[in-house]
Amino acid sequence: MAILIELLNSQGRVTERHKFSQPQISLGRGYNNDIILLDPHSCAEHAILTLNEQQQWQLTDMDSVNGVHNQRGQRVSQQPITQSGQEFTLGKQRLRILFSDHPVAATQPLHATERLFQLLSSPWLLLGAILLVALSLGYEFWLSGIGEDSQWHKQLLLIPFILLMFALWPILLAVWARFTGREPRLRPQLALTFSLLVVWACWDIVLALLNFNHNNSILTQGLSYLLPTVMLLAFFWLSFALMSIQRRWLHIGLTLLLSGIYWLYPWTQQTDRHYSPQYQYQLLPQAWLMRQPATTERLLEQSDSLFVETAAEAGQARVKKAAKQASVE
Amino acid sequence: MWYRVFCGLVLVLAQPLSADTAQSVFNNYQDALIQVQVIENQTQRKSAIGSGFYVSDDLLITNYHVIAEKIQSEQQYQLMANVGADNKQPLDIIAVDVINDLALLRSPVQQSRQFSLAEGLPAQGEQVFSLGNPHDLGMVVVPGTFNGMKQQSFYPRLHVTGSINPGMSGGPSVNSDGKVIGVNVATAGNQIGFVVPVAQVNALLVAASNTVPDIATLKQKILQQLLTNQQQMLSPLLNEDWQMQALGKGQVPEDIAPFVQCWGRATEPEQDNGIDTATASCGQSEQIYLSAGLTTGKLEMQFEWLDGKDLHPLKFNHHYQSRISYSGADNRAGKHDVTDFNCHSDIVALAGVATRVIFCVRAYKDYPELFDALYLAATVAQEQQGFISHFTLAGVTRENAKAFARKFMEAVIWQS
Repeated sequence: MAILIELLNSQGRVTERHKFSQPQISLGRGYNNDIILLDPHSCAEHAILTLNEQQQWQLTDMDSVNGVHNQRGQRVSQQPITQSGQEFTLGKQRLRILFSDHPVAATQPLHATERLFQLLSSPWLLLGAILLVALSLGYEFWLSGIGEDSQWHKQLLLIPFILLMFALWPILLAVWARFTGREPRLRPQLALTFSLLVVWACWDIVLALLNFNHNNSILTQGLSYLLPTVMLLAFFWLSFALMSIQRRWLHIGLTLLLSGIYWLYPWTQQTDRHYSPQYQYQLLPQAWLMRQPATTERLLEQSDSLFVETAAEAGQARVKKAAKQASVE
Repeated sequence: MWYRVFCGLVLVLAQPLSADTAQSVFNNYQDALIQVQVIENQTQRKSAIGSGFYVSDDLLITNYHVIAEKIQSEQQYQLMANVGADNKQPLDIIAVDVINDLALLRSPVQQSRQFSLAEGLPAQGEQVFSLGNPHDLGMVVVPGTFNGMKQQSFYPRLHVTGSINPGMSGGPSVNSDGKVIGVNVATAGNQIGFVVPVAQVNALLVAASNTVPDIATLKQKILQQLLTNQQQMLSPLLNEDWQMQALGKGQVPEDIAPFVQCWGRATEPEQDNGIDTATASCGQSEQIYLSAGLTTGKLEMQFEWLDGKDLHPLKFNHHYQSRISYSGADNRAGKHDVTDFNCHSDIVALAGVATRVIFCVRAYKDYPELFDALYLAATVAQEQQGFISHFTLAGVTRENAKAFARKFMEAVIWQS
């Protein structure tokens, strides 16, 4: 039976995989070895793996300086390999010994999103997405620039830097992946980020239309909470899926944590709504109005609830104050 | 040279006469003047000071704003009359009139010397004397000139040209006979002082009972005063037709009441700002003081006409929209005084023109039935032109807020 030796990095990821059918395999830093180790803490002839008469493999320490340690950290001089998958440390080099009949994990089906990513990360589509984002930034600068002192032409020069800032997240993930021995997948991550930005910009347009025409409908209000949340959840979920994070709880946790900031931040901000009210102020040119305006009577009727609600709140405050005063007395 | 001599003569002739009267006024009535102190219980220090004067052997008049803290937080403060060195007497509140900023107090110390109230107002230009304790510097008498009723004021005030300073609040202004023509209440700086007329003092004395009411009763009275006052202020505005004036293509009210003053401003058309604007704002200079954190009884309106014909419609709209993105109350009110604003916003047809209308309301926590209302409207832009209208009403009932909003929406429109 053939034997396999997997070299592992400090995180336990496989960096090299060797298969042998000979009865003796030598490991060490020397160039005459079957497996040449790079770890400076291993000796030139560090250990030897031999198949004995009973057809059993045995790992033997060749009197090395730093020794051979088993999974429990004990130094061993001669260790029979009774089962597939045993791990040892030679100096600082981790390795795993497997028999060729070692079971393999079930085949992972190709995810539908993988195909989407393949499409999105095609250079032309990615470039298109980046261009659209750049255009929307340019549009924002153009919109706010007004009068003779306007600097919006100059502000266009900032766009590449803003794009670079958007790219920081995919770059960060790629670096992290490289660091942990995963595939960086920078281009799919970039595609994901810029696709999200494009979708978000489109949503902004839809939201403006909805707020302008139907700001009091439950559908608009529901969507304005739901859609950004869904978009962010999907974005972070897919980001980490691309990172191929195996642990499900970590995947869910990171997604919820990062999406949560969107709602958490405004929630922590102090509001002084007793002084300056918050209201819907969306305006668009006449051509975008797609409904019959309400009548003044209807507005006044609906304003009744404002009086009732605030009066109830004031009433509660009075009761609370009276109770507090009574307790003081 | 001759001029100097002449001036000297005038001074020599004028000064003894004025000084004489001032001196006699001061000497005759010094005992009837006191300093009112609001003492904070925990620190036993003054938290507010003002002046007060005897109008009978045990009743004193001062300003409501001097003693407001005592009414707002009864447990935390006490009222003291400072009569002479280290002689403090507790005072009781008998009645208040928040609309005219007056308070009637009772002192345990009987005072034989009192101020008597004048029958009427002096003629314009007559000399008057304001008494009080400015900046805690000791009792003073300040000569001034009576200049009639303050124009354009809903709350009646006398205009006295003379130095009325903080701390003199609640002190009397007297005519040359030493009779009270009013109570010092405010200054606009530069020798312009305001005095509550004696008629309001009389009314307070007539209406007051002889017993000391508890604070809750006083607050109930204050609520009634506020309710009556907002009715009096708004019903003429609601019942009469408003004189309208054009602002761009918008129609805005002009001088809807003598006490509402309007101002206007416009951008210079030769400046290339992209959007030409013309604004008008109307408001009152007085309001009702309820506490350090709460003022009310005020009406304010603002109008803006915008024309950006050279701009792209979306660009114009962006800037137009930002003009209505923020708005605030006009009167002072803290978190403890009012609830948060609650708003309703919709696209409404005003005279057939689609308009974004925002209507916000906050309720008074201490005064049920009273609200502050905020209204903001912007027509949906047509050919890069827009018209914004806005008003705030402080301390009004639901009916009046709605009635005013209805009238405003009917009158303040885009003339297409």
